[in-house]
Amino acid sequence: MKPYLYMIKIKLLLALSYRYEVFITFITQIILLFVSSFFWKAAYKGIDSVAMVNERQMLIYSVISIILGNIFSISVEDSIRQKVRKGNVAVDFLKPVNIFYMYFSEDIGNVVTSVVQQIIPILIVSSLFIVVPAPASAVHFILFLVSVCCSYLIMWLISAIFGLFYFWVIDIGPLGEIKNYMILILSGSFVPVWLFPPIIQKTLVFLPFVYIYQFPISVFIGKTSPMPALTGIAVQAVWILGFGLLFGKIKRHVEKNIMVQGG
Amino acid sequence: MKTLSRYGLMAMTLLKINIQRGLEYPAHLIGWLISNPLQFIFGLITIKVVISNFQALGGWSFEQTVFLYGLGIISHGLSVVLFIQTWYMGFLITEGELDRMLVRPLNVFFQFCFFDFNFIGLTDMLPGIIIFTYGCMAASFQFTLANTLNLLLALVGATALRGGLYTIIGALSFWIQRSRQLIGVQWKLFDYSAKYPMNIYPPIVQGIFTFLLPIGFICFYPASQLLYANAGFALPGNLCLWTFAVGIGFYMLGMMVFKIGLRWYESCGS
Repeated sequence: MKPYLYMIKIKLLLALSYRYEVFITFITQIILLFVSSFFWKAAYKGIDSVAMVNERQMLIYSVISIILGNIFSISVEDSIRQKVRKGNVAVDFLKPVNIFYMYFSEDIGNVVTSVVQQIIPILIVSSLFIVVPAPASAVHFILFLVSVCCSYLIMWLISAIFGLFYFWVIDIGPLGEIKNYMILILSGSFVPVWLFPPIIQKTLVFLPFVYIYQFPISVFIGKTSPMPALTGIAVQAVWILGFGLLFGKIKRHVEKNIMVQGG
Repeated sequence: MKTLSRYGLMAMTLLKINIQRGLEYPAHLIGWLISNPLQFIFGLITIKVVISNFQALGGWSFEQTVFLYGLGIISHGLSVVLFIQTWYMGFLITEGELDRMLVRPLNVFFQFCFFDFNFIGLTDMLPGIIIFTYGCMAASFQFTLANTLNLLLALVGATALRGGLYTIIGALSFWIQRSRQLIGVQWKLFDYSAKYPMNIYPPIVQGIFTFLLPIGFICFYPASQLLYANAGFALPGNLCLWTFAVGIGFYMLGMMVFKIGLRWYESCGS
């Protein structure tokens, strides 16, 4: 456990050492926060609620979505891509640690960095100038925290599975981009899926994307009540199990057939 | 004259090499041909879903917003083809890659502009042209001579404006080493300013995006003139001509910042 905790710490220290980047990241998030809030205010002008969600709830939705976007900045896929390309992955395999736990620790380090650099400032600025992002109730908040952890695992496993493809083909081209766009639109990260036509909504329930952004946020704002939230968390657990098994299977295959290039 | 033809020949050779490189990996090209349109199709769906559930944003109908969005994507596509090298200028500086350009007997800015002609960027333009064509038909845009000329001025200006802003931000890497994050900020701002009419933002924000960081000229002001739509601010004169002037001005400013930054370049790497 100690080496992994050390990696989390290193990741945090590394991120804080680029002070301009810290500042720029902060500015980016604040701009994004204001622009999306102006957008939803314009959309709700003269309208009380749409799909049983009022303007205040929608503003909280967009604030929490930006926060989750920061938490979900997962680098496992990119790490594997770079290391496979340069051949550095051989060095990682020589280390006396499980490399996938190592990549996971690095990503947890990113989450800790996000909390310090972005999430706390976003919460402060949002509370002062836009909306206080308060949960619907304490129960909703606890369920939200649990579902966010599950969302994170789903996201991480999807990214890690895509990362494993690099071991096979060195470069998967824009497939990773396609995956990112799919997640962006189908997860309700900006526009909630409940605004889509009913047929699309019904189809998306059977895919993992809505369980990444929309589900935890709708629990937070109270659109999903506690009992359906528990069912949703169970569905998330099934997706984690499914992706976990797939990841394990591909990983075992990949570890037997590693090709290291470069020198 | 001799120097000019030498640079012309060099530019043509570099373009040829870059196109050959782009065609070298057909599967990669096909991949981008699928991936890039996807993001714009999703953008279009977002606009449709929002306007259907709520109302016309800032008084702009869905058809007018599609016209605006299409116009923005075309200039985005052109800027991706011509100016993609500015996005990873931080890498060129921190890895010492710029050193190679400094030892060649050619103008550094010229080399920087032509060493990566991004042929694949055309895959961004294709959906832009389709969306824009649909926007033109749906919003009943008239292709008169004046409108066509204004449209061309707006496209050249918007592309140069994007290129200028990218170059300025890329050149900041001479001072702060990593400016990639700022490019990310710009993408987000371009996305919000090209996808939705700018008059949905409060006047102070629109003022900033008009007079300080004039991204409103990328597609919002030209589209508002071409479609006679609500622009929020009443700006004097031909807005497409303004776009052209602002674009060229910003591109020249970008060149200037690059040249000043180059004096600060200390080289690194081994």
